[in-house]
Amino acid sequence: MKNYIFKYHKWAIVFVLVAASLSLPSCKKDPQPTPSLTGEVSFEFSHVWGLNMAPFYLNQTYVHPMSGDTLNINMLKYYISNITMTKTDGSTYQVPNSYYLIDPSENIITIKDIPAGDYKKVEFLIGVDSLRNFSGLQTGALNPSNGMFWSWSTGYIFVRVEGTSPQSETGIFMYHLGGYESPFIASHKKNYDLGNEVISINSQTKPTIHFNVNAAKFWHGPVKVADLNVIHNVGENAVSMSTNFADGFTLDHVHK
Amino acid sequence: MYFRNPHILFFVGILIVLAGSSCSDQESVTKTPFAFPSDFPPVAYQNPSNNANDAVFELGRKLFYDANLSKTRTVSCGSCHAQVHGFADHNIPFSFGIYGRQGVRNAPALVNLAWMTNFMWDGGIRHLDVLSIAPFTDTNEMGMTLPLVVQRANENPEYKSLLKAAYQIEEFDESKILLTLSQFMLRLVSNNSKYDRVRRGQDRYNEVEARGHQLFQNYCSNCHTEPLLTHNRFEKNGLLLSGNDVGRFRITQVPTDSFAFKVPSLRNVALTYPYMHNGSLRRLEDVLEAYNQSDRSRAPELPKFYLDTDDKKALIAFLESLTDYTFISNLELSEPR
Repeated sequence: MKNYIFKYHKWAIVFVLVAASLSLPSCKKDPQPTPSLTGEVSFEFSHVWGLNMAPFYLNQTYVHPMSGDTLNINMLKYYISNITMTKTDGSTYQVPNSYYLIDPSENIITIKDIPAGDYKKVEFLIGVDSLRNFSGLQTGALNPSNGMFWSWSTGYIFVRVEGTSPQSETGIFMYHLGGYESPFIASHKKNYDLGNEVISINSQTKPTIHFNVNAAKFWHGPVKVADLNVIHNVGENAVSMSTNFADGFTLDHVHK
Repeated sequence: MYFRNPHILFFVGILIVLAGSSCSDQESVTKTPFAFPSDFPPVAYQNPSNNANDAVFELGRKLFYDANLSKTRTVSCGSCHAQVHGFADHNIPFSFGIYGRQGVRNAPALVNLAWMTNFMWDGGIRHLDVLSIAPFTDTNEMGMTLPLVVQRANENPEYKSLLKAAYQIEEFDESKILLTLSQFMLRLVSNNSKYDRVRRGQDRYNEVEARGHQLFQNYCSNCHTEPLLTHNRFEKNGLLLSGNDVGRFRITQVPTDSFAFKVPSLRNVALTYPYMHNGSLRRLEDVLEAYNQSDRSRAPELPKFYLDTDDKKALIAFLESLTDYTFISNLELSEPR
């Protein structure tokens, strides 16, 4: 009898241990990747004006280098999304869920948890991809209350630029550029080969890639504030203006 | 021996297992998945993260009928989407929002939205979960911002317990409001009209209705596809000579889309007058006569209509069989009292 109880007792202990081992891990999250195998990179977008790349600030009056129009921009916002990084061995890393709303005061994005390695190329979209553009309610940078969402025509304003100009009939201009209604697609993919400036990403480094964004470029195409001071819809003008703006993105330098 | 009674150890073990399982099972709230009718096509709505339970639905219903969610606290979703009118407005061409401001298009009936891939007369809205942003923020409708909607909803102590039951949270954020409204709207399902009962072999049409159904299939069902009674696309009907509303063109900027409008579902159509995007036709007879006379050069794909008085009577009898009295009297969809 004593022997039986002892056996019973022993199985009970085993049961407790098994039960504990089965149930406790379900409370924990998956282990994080080892820190040393990842690193971060920052993109800095410096806003400039005109051919001589004058520093650009909101609420300052600039003369346009081509039209001579006087322009004072009080809002400039745009999405940078779908960041992809290419290693020197040609393999690519797509940064998951990479959506950032940039304006001149929030112009640095830092991307964490990038697999360590040497990277030679970066790619991003100015705008939001068509999948996210149409797939319902989003959060974070894509939250519809960020002033970059069209409530009446589902989708994002990819680039929003507003301000005042004496050349405008109403004194103001307001360009909301976006849309995926074929053939009027206002998002633009940008590709940058870092050339000799390959960046090493690991737990020790914090490289920054500097881009210049030339705000004067909006008016390098057919749209002039005197003729057209409001765009709030998809269409040819939104495509043309956003294409010009996208052309104004240049790789300036890299901090390793 | 430390453990005098080995049974205690079993008990402890079971407790650990229970504790462990409740930890991993966050969604222990009772879920009654709402069953969409099996004799309809597959549901178009997609959002795997928007799970419903009865508490979510109840919360959505309260939001739908909550006038505090408009700037002046006078207009709710239900103000212009009335159950007795098949969730269209109260038989007026243009709805009244805050300060008595009027909209510019006839408020569409909210019905069988789970099968829709686009919303509004111009199809500008592409997902049910972002649909409500438009009436909330339109200055002619509710005149709000989304953060203000959240603030107003969170002011109401009644929502606290419902939120707890629905989501185990205390406060709304923007997405919770919109997703919860979606769950209410998804259940605005009308599938119990005489038309549906006939379809299922549970009822029979009289001679006039049967003739009307035949005429409907000859003239109308290319666009008002059965059984949902819309193909969810955009068409020109050549009727619309007044006003400067360019319809679908506003969204696509493609010239051929000028004056094309979303084909509305005809469910409960006898209750949703006046008709067309501008509410310009008051009676079903007016609509049928308008189709008799409409300018085919403006609507090249529209078949020629030759409806005489008897044809019209028969078609109207059929259209009246689309009224779903269960739907318009279902207390679960009514304003909570």
